Amino acid sequence: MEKKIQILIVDDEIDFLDTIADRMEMRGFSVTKASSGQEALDAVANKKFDIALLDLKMPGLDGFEVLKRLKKEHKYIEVIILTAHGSIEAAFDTSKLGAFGFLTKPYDFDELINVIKDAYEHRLKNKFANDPELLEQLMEKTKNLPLGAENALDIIDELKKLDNDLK
Amino acid sequence: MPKSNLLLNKLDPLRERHYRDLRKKHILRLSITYLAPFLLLLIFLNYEYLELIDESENRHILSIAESQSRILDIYLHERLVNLMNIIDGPFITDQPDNDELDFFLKQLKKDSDSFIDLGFFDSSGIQISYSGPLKFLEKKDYSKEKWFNDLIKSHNRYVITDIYLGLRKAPHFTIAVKRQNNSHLWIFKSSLDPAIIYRSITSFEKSQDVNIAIINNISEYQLVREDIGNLLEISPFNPPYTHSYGISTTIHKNQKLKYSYSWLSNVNWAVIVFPKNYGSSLFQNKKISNLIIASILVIILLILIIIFRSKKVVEIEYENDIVKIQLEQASKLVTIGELAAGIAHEIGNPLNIIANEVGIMQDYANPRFNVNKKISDLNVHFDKIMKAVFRCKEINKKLLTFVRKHDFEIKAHNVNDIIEDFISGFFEHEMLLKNIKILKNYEPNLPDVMIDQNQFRQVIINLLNNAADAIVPPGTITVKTFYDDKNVYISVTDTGLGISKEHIDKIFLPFFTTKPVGKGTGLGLSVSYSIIKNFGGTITVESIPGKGTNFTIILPKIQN
Repeated sequence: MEKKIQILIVDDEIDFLDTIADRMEMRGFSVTKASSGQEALDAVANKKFDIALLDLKMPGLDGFEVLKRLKKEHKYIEVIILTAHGSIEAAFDTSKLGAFGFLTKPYDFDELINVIKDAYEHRLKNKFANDPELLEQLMEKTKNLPLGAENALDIIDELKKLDNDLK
Repeated sequence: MPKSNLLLNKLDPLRERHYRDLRKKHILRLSITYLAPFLLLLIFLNYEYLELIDESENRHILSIAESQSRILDIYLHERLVNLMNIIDGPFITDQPDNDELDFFLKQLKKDSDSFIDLGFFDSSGIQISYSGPLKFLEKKDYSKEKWFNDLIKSHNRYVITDIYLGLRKAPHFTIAVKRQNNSHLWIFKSSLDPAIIYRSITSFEKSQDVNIAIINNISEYQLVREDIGNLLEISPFNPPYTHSYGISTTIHKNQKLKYSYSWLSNVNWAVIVFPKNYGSSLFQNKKISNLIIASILVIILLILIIIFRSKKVVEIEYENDIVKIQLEQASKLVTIGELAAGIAHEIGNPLNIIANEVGIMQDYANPRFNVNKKISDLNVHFDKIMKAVFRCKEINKKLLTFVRKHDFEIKAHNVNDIIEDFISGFFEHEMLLKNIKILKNYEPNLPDVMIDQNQFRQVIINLLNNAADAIVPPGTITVKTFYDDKNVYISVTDTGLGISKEHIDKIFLPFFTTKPVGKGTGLGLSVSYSIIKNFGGTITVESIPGKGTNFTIILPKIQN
């Protein structure tokens, strides 16, 4: 069975947290909820995540601080900012800190799913590009594939399978 | 001032009345500062002027009296010398007869027209011989006459009589001289016509604004114009003998009359001089009227200046007020702008929840997910949506209290309520997100103060926002209220960066800001200060660089 994409959702709005977790799970993601920056850091210490959805304005550790620490300690996690504080400065600052995406609340759920997928692919490419051993395994698996436009998607599928096997 | 008028139309009647009152107040104040000293000066100058006029008038009439008395003295002295020359002369015999006297009289008349006749007397007082128009006076006994006895007794060699009518019923006076040689006594007497004296005095009078009269030592007129008095009548003038000349006053025709006098040295006569228009001064009329015209012109000028100046002052005041109003509005916009970011966040979150809840219900309805839910299972989602909607509504309501145009109204308020309303409304939550703690220390029995609620709220927002901006999180803002006998105090203390010494004097100036470009207009504190000043209070500031800053609003307590 294909391994689910692991998602961490960080937001101080509990009402939001519960519902979005339900919706993500209905779409086959594995979701962990954190209602503060500290909870988020505790969660990543115990479990590997592919994607983090992160609110910026939170009491205690705010989104910027959590983003900084996640990117520092967990190289391949992709972070998507999900905030009501939608200023251009904030988008710019978080992108500099390594956030993959920036969505303002209220957001379109389908768009979020697309961004999550993009982020996941980005994470995989990133991970393989930086790891020669993984890359070699990939080349071995894909050397018989003919080159073509539609085959690019097959490569992604191969990457997913490979990543799942490695977990 | 067309621009100002345009703006004035926007002002309510209360403000218009305020400016009218202000103008009245300025006119009154300027009147006191400009007109009062001028009027005092005028009164003083007028007094001085009258004194001066009085004095110069005195000097004027005194100099006339003196000069006239000297002229008379010289005249009389000359006549005396004429007679002395005869009696002591080489042609005199022991018993001069009429022919001899005719010869002497002719000689005397050469010296002066005023000699009328000449008589010779022996020690018995009989007129022995006579030359002149009144031949019947010859051999007449003068031994009872006052002048004769005076002359006999006198150690002086002459007597000059007062003017009298005598036997001839014409005004004249007499000069008599004596010569004692061993046992022989000569006495010569001559009557003199005072017409020449009279002429010289009246011709002098004509060219002057004065009346001149001559009186003797018992105040009888000796020489006088008919419209003033009659010869030998008692005059109202009573000059003292103790001074040879001077100024004195008397009552004449029920009026106080000032006159100068000068006693003659050869005879007990005094020259009296007094103004023609007695009762009013000599120069006063014409010159005083000039002074009055000048004064009125100056007063009119001053009044014009006062009206113009007070108008100008009110205009300046008015323009300042307009600028203040504009600044207040600008600062209100700034405050709203600063709030806007926070509000966007506050509204964004509940909207997000609504979108999310609707989304999950769409998911339930989507056959793809194959979810089996009862309608009652949806209640939890409906509740969340309603909760989020009401959150938005609450924020909306609070936002409107800032944006809505309020009428300015000063009345009694408890500042605790206004502060708490704002802090618990947005500020506390926003600060929590920024990791800033709010400590509230309200005095529960705080007395009311007279303020406009909206303006005061603006000041509080401004101080709290400044405090928050000064803090590098984490930090604390302490809001404290307290009071004493006179005032209510609202203190806002932050644990921020503090204000440097060179900046602390300037922080209440408009457009002074240390915030980065685009972050602050530099209006907040200056407008806050002017608002609190308007309430009759003040704002004080204390700061320790690196430790924090304390702003204290001081408002007067309502006195019973």
